[in-house]
Amino acid sequence: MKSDDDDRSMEETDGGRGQQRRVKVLLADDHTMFREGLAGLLASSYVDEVEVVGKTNTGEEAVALAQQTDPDVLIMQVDKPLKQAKDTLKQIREGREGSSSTPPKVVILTMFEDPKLVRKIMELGANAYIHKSASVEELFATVRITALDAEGEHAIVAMPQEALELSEDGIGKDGAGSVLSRRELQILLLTARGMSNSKIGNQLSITEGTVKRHLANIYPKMGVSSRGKAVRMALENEWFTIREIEAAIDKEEA
Amino acid sequence: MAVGAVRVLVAIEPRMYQEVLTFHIRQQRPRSEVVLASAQTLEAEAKQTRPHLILANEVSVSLKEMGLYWVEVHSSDELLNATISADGYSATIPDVSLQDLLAVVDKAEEQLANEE
Repeated sequence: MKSDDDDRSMEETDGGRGQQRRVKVLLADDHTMFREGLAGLLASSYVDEVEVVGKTNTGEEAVALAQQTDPDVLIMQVDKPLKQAKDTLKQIREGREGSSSTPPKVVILTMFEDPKLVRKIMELGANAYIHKSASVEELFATVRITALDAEGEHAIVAMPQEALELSEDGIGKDGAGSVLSRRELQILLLTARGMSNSKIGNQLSITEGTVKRHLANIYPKMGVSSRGKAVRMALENEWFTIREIEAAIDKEEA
Repeated sequence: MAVGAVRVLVAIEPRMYQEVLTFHIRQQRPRSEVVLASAQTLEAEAKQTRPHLILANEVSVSLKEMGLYWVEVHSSDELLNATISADGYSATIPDVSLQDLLAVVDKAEEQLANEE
C-alpha cells in the first residue's frame, strides 16, 4: 500500500498550476571539486526541477543530513571497500524508521564497472548505479526517473558499453581487468617487462612521477603491495600473458 | 586595450567531471575560450589550438615543454588532487576545489594580459 509520501514527487503541484515539485537531492561525494561543481550545476541548469538540499563528503554526515533535509534522492559516491557504503545505506533506511516519510531513493555514482560490484551495490538497496563516464544529463534523467518510481520497482544501471563484455570475474574479452584503467594496465605491462619507472615514463612520454602515481593507484585497486605481486596477479588473471610481455620486449629490442 | 581570451583545453576524465568543470569555467570565466579533448586527442588538440592552459589527468612531457600552464588532476586515497604548473612554479593541491582550478584560469589570463 502506498503512503501519502509515495507519490509526492509528481503529484504535488505548485499552487494548482500543474507544475511538478522539484526533486530534493542530497549529494555525497569525496571529491570536493566534483561535489561542489555538480551541486552548482544542478542548482543552476536544473533550477526548476532539482533542489540540492545538502552536500557532504562523508557517509556519516550524509545520514545526518538525510534526517534533517528529507531528500527524495541521495546521490552517493561509492568506493571499495563497500563496507562504508553498506553502513551508510543501512543507517539511512533505519533513520527514517518511525517517521512518516519514506527513505530517499539512492543513486550510486562510481568509477567501478565490475558487474559483480554492481550486483553487490544494488543488493544493498540502491535504486540506480551510474558510472561517472555518463553525462550530467544522464544523471539528471536518472534522478528524475528514480524519484518517479514510487515503489522502487525498477533499477537503473548506466555503465560503459564495454563493461557489459566483462565476465563475472571482471575480465574483459581483450583480457583487460576491469579494476584497472587502460593506462594503468599499460603501465603494469611495462612493469612486467622489468622496466624502471623512469624508462616507463620515457616510453609513454610521461614523467617518472606520473608513473609512480599510477603504480600507487594500481596497488590498492588490486589489493597488493608490490610490483611483483601486481604482475603475478595480472598474469594469473590473464590480463596479459607472458607472450605479450615477451613480444613487447622483442619489439623494443628490434 | 582588450585582452585576448585565454584558451583552456580540458581533457579530464571521467566525462561527468569534464562536464562539471567546463560548465563552471564557462559560467564563471565567460571571457575564456574552452576547448574539449579526450586523453587520446589531447596531444593533437593541444598542438592545433595552442592553449594557454591544459587541464587533464595526464599531461605528456612534450606538452609540458611547450611552456604553457598545466594542471594534472588525479585521484589518490579517495581524494581528488591536482598538480599545478603555472608561471614557473608548481605545486600539488590535495583535495582540489573548483575555486583552485578557476584561480589557475585567472593566473593564465593574467599572464596573457602581461604578454599583450
